[in-house]
Amino acid sequence: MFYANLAMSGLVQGLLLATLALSVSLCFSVAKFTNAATGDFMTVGAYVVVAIQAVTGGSLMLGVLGSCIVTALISLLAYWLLFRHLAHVSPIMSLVASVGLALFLRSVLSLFAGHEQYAIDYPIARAINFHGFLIVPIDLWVALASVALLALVFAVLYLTPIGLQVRALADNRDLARAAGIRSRGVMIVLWSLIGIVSAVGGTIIGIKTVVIPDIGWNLLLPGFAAAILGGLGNPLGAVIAAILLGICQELSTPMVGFVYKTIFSFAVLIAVLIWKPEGLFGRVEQVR
Amino acid sequence: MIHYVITLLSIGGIYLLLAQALNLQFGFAGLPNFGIVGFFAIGSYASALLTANGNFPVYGAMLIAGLLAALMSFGLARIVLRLRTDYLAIVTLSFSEIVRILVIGEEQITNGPRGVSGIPGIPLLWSPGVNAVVLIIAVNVLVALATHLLVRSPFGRSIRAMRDDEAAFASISKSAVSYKLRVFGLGGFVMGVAGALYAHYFGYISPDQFLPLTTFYVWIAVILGGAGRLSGALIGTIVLTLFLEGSRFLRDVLPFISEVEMASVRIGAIGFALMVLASRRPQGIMGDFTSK
Amino acid sequence: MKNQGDVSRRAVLAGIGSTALLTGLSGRAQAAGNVFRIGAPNTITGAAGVFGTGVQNTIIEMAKRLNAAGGAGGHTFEVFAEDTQTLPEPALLAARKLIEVNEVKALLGVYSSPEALAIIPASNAADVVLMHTGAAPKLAADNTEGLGFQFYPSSQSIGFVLNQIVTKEGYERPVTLTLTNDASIGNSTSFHKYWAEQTGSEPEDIRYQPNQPNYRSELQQALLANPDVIILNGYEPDATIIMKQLYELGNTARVIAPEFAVTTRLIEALGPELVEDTIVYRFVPNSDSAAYTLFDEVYQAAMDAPGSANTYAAIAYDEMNLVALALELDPAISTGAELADAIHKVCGPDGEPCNSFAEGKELIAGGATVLNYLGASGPCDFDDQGRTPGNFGVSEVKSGEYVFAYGIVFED
Repeated sequence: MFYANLAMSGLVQGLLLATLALSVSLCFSVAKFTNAATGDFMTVGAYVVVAIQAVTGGSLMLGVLGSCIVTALISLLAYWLLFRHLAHVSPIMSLVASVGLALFLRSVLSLFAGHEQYAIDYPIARAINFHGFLIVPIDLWVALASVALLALVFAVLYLTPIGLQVRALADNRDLARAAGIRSRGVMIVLWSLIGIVSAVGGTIIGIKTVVIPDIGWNLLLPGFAAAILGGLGNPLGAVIAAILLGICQELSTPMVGFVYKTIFSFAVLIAVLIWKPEGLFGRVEQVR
Repeated sequence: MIHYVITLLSIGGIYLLLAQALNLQFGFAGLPNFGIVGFFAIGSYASALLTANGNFPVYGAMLIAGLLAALMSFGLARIVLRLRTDYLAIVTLSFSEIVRILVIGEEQITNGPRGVSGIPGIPLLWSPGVNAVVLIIAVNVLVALATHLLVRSPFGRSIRAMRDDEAAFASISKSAVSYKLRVFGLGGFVMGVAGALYAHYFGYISPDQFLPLTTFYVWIAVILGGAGRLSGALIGTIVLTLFLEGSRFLRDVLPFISEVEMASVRIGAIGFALMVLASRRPQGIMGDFTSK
Repeated sequence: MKNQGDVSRRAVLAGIGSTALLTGLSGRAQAAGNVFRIGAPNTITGAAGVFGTGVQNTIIEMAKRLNAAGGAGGHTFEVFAEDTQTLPEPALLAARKLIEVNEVKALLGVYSSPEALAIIPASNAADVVLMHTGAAPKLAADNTEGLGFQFYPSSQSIGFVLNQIVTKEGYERPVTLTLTNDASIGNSTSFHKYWAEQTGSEPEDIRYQPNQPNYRSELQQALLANPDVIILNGYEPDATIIMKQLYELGNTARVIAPEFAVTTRLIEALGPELVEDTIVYRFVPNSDSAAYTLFDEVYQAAMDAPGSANTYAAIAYDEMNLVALALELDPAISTGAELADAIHKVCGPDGEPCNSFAEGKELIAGGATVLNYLGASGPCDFDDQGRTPGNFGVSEVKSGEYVFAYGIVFED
């Protein structure tokens, strides 16, 4: 039961990282660069929820919906004003620019909201105990929200015509262009999706922790690790890798302790890349 | 005022060493190392631990620190160099976090989060009164000279050729990997020495001083200045330092901005500058290797 | 690589040149009259960013109020504020700039050991008073000129207090939850030493990393030891997450935590039920002290939040009062050494007790030459090495309010 509870803890950890990894992977699949501002998009998402809750008097549902809209707009703006201009330079330059965007977003947040902590309002309840196996009610909601989000993203990617174009563009840009796919519409869908994923992810992280300007940035590296393990640009792979990493990380704590668990994902990342340089679910130079 | 300027030169000089090392790795050889602070930490801790509790000579310890960082750099490069550049960036970033957490966790060796104190200062050979800044500047000049000679050498021409077109380079020479390894090792050495200088300059180090933000600052300096040019690292570091420190003075004449707001504005402006430069002038202020 | 958005090298350099010129012009702010300059290099950003703004605004608010009340000893205060990013090298640069460009005579609200250790050689050399909350023992050794004042009680005294609380309440199976930073590890280690001396057994210690989204595994490990009391050594953000998750996991053991971890903001965020009966200690003998009430009012004005949210701001409040009292006592102060001497005369423990600058001013006007300032953050007494003795107040949280229980005095 001890290990079952650890696995449960890891599942929650994995779901928290999954949204971040999904967002990183989505961005990479089409825009072809690693977005270091992903964590800060989530921070923005969490702050918008706090702000809306403060105005409306605590409605979490409204908060999440509003946050999705605002964060998607910011994400689109980031594409339109910044990343659009970086399409033809080295992906390292885009990475550097996204670091700039991350710093910028955080500074705007702290300029208006300060550095003190905020909290997202939700009903806190004791865990339900099944013969020693503990399930915390909010974790169920977190899991539900994550699954709904994943379903939405994959429905858009696999069930809609525009999703087909997104995947085509991800697979082979030149071929897709030749077939008449216009990248602008695809990019709008992609960056909106990234914004929505960030808003929901930010809300989940804000609920589980506290809302401070650094929350997203602090989770960025493990999120990167999961995205790469899943094979960069493979959204489903990223999600699976994040959950696996989370569970393995927490299960490893009796052996490695709680200080080293934070680098577990990095160690696994390096080990896996030695063995499979393209990641667990990636194919060399052919990412989906 | 003089002590302030000397402090500025010392700290700026240490950052400049890191920028020069990154310029060698990324600017001249095209290797995106995002683990700078990890090698910096290895150098810092190696030199600090060797000298803090014993009579180990400081200069010897600094040399060992550089060699150890070079060795780690070489070892990491062996593992990760066959990865594509995006993966390489993230893996090196992760490496620096691994180093930091190991420093926190291995308390018996590193004293963990409590840090190492009592690190002896830098003894200067000619006059004990001269500040460490002399040594820091001297090392910078040495590294700049060495880099200058290196990039003009056949080895330098090869790494630049490799950076500009790896596929073509691989077709005429099989030694791309060996070149990359050597550049990574050399850069690591400089980062390690910079870390050692840092430890002896401050006399106290703790894991909190080795966060990835330092790495990003160095990247900002190199991108600002222009990658792949000797002057790029220098100009970039000067501009970044002028901006970070200059904004302190700006506030003295703009009293209506509080320091709390200024702290946000400062970081925000750096972020903004980075975005504008990367998207509008990716070759930096001085121009990079593409605009010679 | 020429594209339409290309900016020329000359344009960029020109822009930088004009910025540099502008910053150069600012020079140093000249002020008329008998101005006493104070430097506030605080942790606005970085690891301790949640505290720095409150500390800095408290110092600025206090200067404003003291000036409005006519200053101290004929001096008015001017505050120069900086951000240290909670890192030693920006802290040192900020301190050097404050000392040499703004010519401050005292640095207030310096937060961590690394920052204070980086600054103290510079402040010693420049004859500037340094008031900080670092915990490293080396800070006392480095205080060679007597200019340093360490407002954070030693780890040893906090371990002593924790042991006293646990013993007094009759608990037998304590477990410590320790954030991996200098001060927290010091506190837990010290408690373990006292507990081992007393009972011969070593309690379980769980170390946790900051900035984790999920502490469930750590807490499960802690609860596995079946503790009757959990000692939490951390700060507000991690304590908020841990208190919440402890409750969710069905913990019934009592929690002991410092007040700067279980803050009023934490209680507000989690609701009173989750923190009911938590034992909270702070570095002040009596939570109802007059000084504390005054501080609370200043903090409300500066931050629009209750003062209990930020112990470090209470310390900054006391630092300002001590400097002001010292100037009132000896208006001729011109060097850092004289200021430090005068601070030792007004801080106690001997002399007439006072709770505020106004009270102290009256006593001085009445002929007092030695005062005992009793502060909002603690008794504010200092030994020759600038260390403050441990003199603690213990409260319990009842229906979301701190209820004072008893005081504990540290004995070596």
